[in-house]
Amino acid sequence: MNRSAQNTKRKEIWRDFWVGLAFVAIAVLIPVFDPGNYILSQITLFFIWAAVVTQWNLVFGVAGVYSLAQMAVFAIGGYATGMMGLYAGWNLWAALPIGALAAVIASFLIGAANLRLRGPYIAIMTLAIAQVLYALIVTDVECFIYKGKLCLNFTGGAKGLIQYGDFGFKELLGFKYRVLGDYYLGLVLLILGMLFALFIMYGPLGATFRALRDNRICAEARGVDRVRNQLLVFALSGIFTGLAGGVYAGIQRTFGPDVLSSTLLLFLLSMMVVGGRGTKWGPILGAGALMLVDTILRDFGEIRVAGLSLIILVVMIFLPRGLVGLVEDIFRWRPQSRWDERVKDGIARVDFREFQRLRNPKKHPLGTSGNNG
Amino acid sequence: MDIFLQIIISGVSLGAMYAVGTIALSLLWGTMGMMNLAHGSFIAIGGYMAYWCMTVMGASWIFVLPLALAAGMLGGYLLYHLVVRWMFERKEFSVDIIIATVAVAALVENGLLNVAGPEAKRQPFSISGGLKLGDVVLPYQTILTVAVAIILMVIVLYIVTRTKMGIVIRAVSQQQVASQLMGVNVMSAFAQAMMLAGGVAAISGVLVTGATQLFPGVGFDTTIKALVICIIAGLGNLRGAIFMAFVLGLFEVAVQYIFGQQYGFPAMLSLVIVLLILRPHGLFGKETVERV
Repeated sequence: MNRSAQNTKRKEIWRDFWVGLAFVAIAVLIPVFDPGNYILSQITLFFIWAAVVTQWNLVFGVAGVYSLAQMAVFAIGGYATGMMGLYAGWNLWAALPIGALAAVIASFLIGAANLRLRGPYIAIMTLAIAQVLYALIVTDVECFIYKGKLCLNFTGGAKGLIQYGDFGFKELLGFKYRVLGDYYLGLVLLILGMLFALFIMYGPLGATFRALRDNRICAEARGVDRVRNQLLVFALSGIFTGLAGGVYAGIQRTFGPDVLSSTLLLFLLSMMVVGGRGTKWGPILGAGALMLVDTILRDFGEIRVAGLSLIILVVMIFLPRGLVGLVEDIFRWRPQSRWDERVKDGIARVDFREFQRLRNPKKHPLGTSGNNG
Repeated sequence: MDIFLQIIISGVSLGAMYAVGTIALSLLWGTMGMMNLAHGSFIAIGGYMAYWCMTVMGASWIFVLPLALAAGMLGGYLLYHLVVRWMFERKEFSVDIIIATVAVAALVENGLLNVAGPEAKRQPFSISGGLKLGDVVLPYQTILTVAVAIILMVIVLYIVTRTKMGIVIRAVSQQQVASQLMGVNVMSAFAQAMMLAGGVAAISGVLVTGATQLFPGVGFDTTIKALVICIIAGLGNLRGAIFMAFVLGLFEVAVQYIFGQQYGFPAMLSLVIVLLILRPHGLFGKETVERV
């Protein structure tokens, strides 16, 4: 890497550092203004979804493997955490790593099942896998254990898992401040997940993933091992997705098959698309925008899904690079020089002196005298 | 022996429903390279058209299929000009269109939910009773579905391979710039392909909902299964897709009979994954060479 490229990269890292710091500062300070429990729980949910979408973005946006099974990975993380709490009686804090491990294994297997497929085929296959998981959970009616006279299914069936405990913020902070515990836990999850994603994107792995995405054949010809990298990106994205599932299970205190519904999948997919696929801050920006819209639309329950899908369609048609692309365009916009306009109009003559005069009228006021030889 | 026959009949019924669903999907993939996740909305639209025509308006069953065809074609036209047209030129069209059509499917489902209500309805365009073969019954609905699936396939194959419209559609799908230079109206060719697919999908919706029930999200499961079948057959291969629809329908019913109701679709999917690991381009798909 030459020096100017290094400088650009350093500049970019500093910019990301300041953006992240500003975001964290705002997020830490919000509860000080006491916006009410509803808003706080909505923001907590935003943290969790944003954490999932940042990891999904690694697979979908950075590595270009169009997997739609991220919510299945999330569900497996959450279910594993809840089951360790319910059946093994573990504290949920101790169960979180188990959930992450289960999610990593599940994600790895999903990646392995799709190794020989490409592009849109993967999207359909992963969607079908998520659908199968949903069908298996909903149709689970056999009794696994009995609690008193109550028959509990292994996965909790259509009702979902319940009574597996939570993170104990109620005892630690008191009933009133429990929401704050959830809030900061969500924030820590998002910060860690985002740091993880940024490290991958800046590191050599990110470059490998992008190379495979942009031109698979060239990358393979240069010796990049596609199989290894696809398995790696799936496994890596599983870590924080599974943790997010566990945190969600602990905060909601119930975990059901509705996390696998197509509505929620659409919701998270639209976060990624609206924010900007494959960008660093797109997932968080998109998650924020969509949660805002969702909170507003909640009063109009019956058209909520329609509103979300209209937003996706509008963004897909008019802003294919998402909100991040829009922000970039706004920052990079500058008045076009007269030379560019003339080139666009097709009246440009390839005339070096004319070009210099238009570009830099002070230095060469009347064409050039010194450079016409 | 009776159980065996029963499995075959149920499998053929299921396979017929899948087959009818795969035709429109295969057509769109083969001509435009577009995976239509909004296929389920066309199925639902067809079903609701039949319900509206016969139950609400009290009209004769004769009008059902033309009405569904018209509604599906209108839907295809709108889908092309409102959504597909604007992303066709993009490099990542094949994935962008999946996201966009998932959104369209959600939009249509939500619209139907608000207009027609969430409760499941009985769709009247169906035949009750069946043919007695010994102790088992072959429902007339199955015979009707199989017949319509085959007729639709023949019509679609005829249109795509023999008529001028089909030749234009195929030419555009193979060499867009070249056919434009030859004076082909590219936009109209794609709009025609989408209208054809929309009409076929809506008719298949009438048949599918006739065998099950009618509710706003009725098409989603069928779409996923039909897409999986298309993939396993090799996307764009119409005859292979129909054949695989029956094979996988039989397999699913057999698994349901032996292991229990809920394992049908998971078993089918595992089979598909294993087959795709062995043959990534599908069983009947052609291996394409990628150029850099």
